[in-house]
Amino acid sequence: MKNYKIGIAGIGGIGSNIAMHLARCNYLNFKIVDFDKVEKSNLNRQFYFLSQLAMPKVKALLENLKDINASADKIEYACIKLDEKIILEIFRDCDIVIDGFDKAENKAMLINSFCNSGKYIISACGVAGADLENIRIEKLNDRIFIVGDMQTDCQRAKLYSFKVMCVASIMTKIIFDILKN
Amino acid sequence: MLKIKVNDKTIETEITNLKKFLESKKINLETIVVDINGKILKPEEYSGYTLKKNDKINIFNFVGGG
Repeated sequence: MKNYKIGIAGIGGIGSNIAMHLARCNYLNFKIVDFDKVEKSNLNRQFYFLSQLAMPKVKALLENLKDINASADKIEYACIKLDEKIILEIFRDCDIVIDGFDKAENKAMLINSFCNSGKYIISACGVAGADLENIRIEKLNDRIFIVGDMQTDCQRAKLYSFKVMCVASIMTKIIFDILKN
Repeated sequence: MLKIKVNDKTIETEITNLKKFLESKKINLETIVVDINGKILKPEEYSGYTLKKNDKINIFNFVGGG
């Protein structure tokens, strides 16, 4: 198995659950980046708890990952807002970059920023709503993967943990396929 | 008229500048990734790209949620 470093940009519904899967698989060579704090509205799908409200997400997530895996303190983290200038620097040492953003603009920004970098990019698009049947994997090229139903926007449909976690699970499976090959 | 393929559909257009073409489609340029003939163009490259006959364009539009 390759020892690629994984960068997770945004640890909301997608990013926090992928981090959880990685910690349960004992794969800890990753970095979590988010500027946000835990809010009550996150708890319907994100890997946080009521006792963690108002905590920075990076701190809360590290705490939860350490409750799963005692070695989780080796996970790198940064409490910082990512934009197109800083994102290249933050994930420079990563081989795989995960899109855990919620805004469509940030998702496009991430792919456009890393499109010529040679890094693997795994993104989510269409994670809202309750239907699981239309979740698929779209490959923009051999290094860029997008998972979701591609069209259900969170402005038009509610977010449910079972769909968000389903997409996060498929994204984690793609990471593992990359690490194994 | 220029014949090009956009997301697997053949269309004809008089607009040869990529940025103007995308704007004419009323697409939000902030939420898309554009691939031309297998290569992703960065947003700052749109205005400098001149569409050619038989160009294959894939426009991927992101929606919100995560």
